Order: sequence, then C-alpha cells, then structure tokens
Amino acid sequence: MRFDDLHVNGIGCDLGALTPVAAPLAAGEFTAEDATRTGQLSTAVAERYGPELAVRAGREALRQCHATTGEQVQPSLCLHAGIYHSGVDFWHAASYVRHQLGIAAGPGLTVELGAMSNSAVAGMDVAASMLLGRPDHHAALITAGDRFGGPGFPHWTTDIGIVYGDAGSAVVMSRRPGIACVRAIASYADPALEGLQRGDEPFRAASVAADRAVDIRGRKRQWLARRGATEVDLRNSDAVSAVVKVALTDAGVDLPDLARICAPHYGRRLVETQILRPLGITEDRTMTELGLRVGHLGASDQLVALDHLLRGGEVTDGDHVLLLGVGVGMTWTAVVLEVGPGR
Amino acid sequence: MSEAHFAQALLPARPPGVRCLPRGKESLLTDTTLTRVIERTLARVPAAGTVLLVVRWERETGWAHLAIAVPGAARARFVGFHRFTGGGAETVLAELAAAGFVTASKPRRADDLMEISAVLARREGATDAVR
Repeated sequence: MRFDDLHVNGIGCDLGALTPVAAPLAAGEFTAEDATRTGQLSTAVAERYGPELAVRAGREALRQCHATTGEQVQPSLCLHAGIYHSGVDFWHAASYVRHQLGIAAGPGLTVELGAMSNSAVAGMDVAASMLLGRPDHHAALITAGDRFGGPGFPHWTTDIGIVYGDAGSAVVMSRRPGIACVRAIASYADPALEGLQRGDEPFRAASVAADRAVDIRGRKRQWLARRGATEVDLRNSDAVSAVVKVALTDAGVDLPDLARICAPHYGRRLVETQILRPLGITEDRTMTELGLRVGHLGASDQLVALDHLLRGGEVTDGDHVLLLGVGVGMTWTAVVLEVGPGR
Repeated sequence: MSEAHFAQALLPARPPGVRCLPRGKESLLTDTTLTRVIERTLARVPAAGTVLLVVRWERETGWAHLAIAVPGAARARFVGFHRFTGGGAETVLAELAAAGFVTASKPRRADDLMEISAVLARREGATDAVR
C-alpha cells in the first residue's frame, strides 16, 4: 500500500546498559562456539521493566513530535507491545504507558499489539490504516518495551542463535509533516510456521517462566526435527521477498536506492540466512553491527535502529530507509520511509 | 557482452556469492500486478516515443525487476518488482503478452536469469498515429 500523506513525527528509545560477551563467557552461560556463530559482542540489560522503558521512549517521541509540529499532540490511538512478561500478571500495560505519558482520557483506542517481534513495525501498518481510514484519529503512538532475564528468559541462552536485549521504543505517526514520510507498507503472514516456537509444548494453566527458563531451543529443535530447516528458510524467503518487493514497488524505490535496512537483530548467522540471502544484499546494508552490540530487542529492533541512524546523522533528508519486521507465528511487515518532511 | 558480465548486469544489486533461496513450490504469493505497476508508470511518461519495458526475471524465485527505458535517456528507471505466477520462461512471455507487451528482441539468458525487452503494443500504435 502506497501512502502519500502519512508521516513519522517523533521517535524515541531507551536501552539497557551494554553487557559484554566476556561476562556470560566467563560465567559459562555462553560458549565460544555460540559467540562465533552469533558474532554477538554485547547485549543491553536494563533494570527497568518493559513498560517503563516504553514510557521513557514514548516521552522522547512525544517531545520530538511537539518540536516538529509545534503542538502538544495527544494521540487518540495508543498501541503498545511487549513480547515477554510485562512485570505484572493480568494487567493492561498499554494503559499504563498512556497514563504515564500524560495522554488524557478521551475518544480512541488504547490496545496491545500481539505480533511478537514484528509488533512495532506491524503496528505502523495498523496505525497507518487507521489514520488513513479514520479522519477522527489525528495521531498514533506506538510503543514497545521488554526486559528479559532470569529465571524465565536468560538473555544469552534462551534461543538458538539469538541473544536478547532490553529496550523500549516509540514512534508517533500522523498526517502532519515530521521527521520522515511513510511511503509504503506491506505485510504478510504464514501461520504454518506457528509450531516452530511451540514445538511439543502442551497447553498449561500457568506460565512456567517463574520457575525455569522458557525452553525455546528445545521447542525449535522438536519442530525442526520433524519439518526441517529448509521449510523455514523457504517460507521466510518467500515472505521477506514479498513484503520488501511489494513495499518498494509501491514506494517506487529500488533496493539499491535504500540508504539502510533496519531488520531484526538476530545474530550474524541468522541475519545471513533469513534476511541477507532472500534479499540478495550484504550485511553492510543493514544495522547488523548495531544489533551485535545491543541484542534482539523484542519488538524494538527497527525503531531503535532508525533512531540510531537519525541521531547519528547517518541518514539525511531524502534518504530512504526500510524497516523490516519479522515476528514468530510468523508475520512480516516492511515499511519504506523517506527521511525528512517530504516534498 | 560476455555471459558473466551479462549475468552481473541483470541483477546489479546482488553481490557475488549472495544468492536467493529457491522458490517454494507451495508459494501462493501474487503481490503486485504487472498491469497496475505498468499503468501507474506509463501515466507519468510522456505519450510520444517508444518506451521499453526491461524485465529481469529470476527463475529461481519467480521475481522480476522491472524498469522502463526511454531511448536516448541515460539509464532505465526502476518501476517495480513483479512475481510471475508461472515457473517457466514461456509463462513469463505469455503474461507479458497478456498485459499488452510485445517482445522487442530475443530474450537473453544467463544461468538462472533472463532479460526481456518489451514494447507496449497499444503504445506503439499510438506513437505511429502521432507520426
């Protein structure tokens, strides 16, 4: 879908402190083989919980929005995501984030997004559709925040080839010019891969994460033993190609024209097989170097990377940036942005 | 142009050693439609003159890179990607014909790649009428 009048007005992020790979290596939590395979140098570890990180990121995104539009924006659409435990059972983190940000009561929606690591980028698709189809919504705030860690989710060891990091991120979108224009968005879903994250796990009455680590490695091995890795590669390759090429086509931008691609921070080997090969690109086109320092930040990878690019001046007005979201389940979303207020 | 150079010219964005995974047999993707992309593009191109559609199709994935080339212009302009529904070259040519294109020269092949230059038939007719 092409968009001609949709903008990003503010962006923010909050990262945990970087813990070098030497620490888990010394503690025996991470092997030298793991370090070589992932290329991970460090990961972000926060003391604050996911919703708190999201609030801090949201505060910065709203501040930027104020600076670019000259108004105190009160988004009527507040979307929040966290892929792991928010810190409180049976609770609505999205309302917490909204309230902490001082967004008052009023008409609209405050809901949580459930697309796992694709939540923030998929949320931009949802927000774009709402802003395009509902004139009564003037602005949307998308926030994400996660803190991983023991006992349920050790950063370094829970997943195969992926080291998790703690961060919050936020973006404000509206129909008013801001820091970037949304040029096109495309999404795709393939639920046949849902079992990859479930394995042989039975349904349970309560989470096991309070007592022991979630066994993502074991679940993936169970599924892969039956179906094989090739099926994942083929289906992912199809989907990544589809969302990126459809979004680029709608935006009228070729792959070599992109200044940078903000993709999931999967670790070096998975980035190679799941992102670079399907798109036929090299690692330097992506934000992998950043990812190897901060880890896979749940739903925040792409927004943190975009924030990094903008703050560092690595992209300037007129540059095109692609956000590629991938979430277990699986779902894929590509967003093509043009930096600047637009022509 | 040698076959090796031709292959590189077909997909300049693909670095050596980086390749796509094979297309899944069960792929049901349809994505962008060829006619929609072309019509949207041609609407922005001046009516007079010949316009070539350059299709760089990768058999392995089914995806094609589309560009519009205007004779005399410095370089072809990207107009989009399209995934052809069939798996063979004949199907690609048939789909192009169904979209109103006539191949302008013999398709060039290198490994898994094929480049087709095509002219929009009705556009040529209009150009002839102007002359």
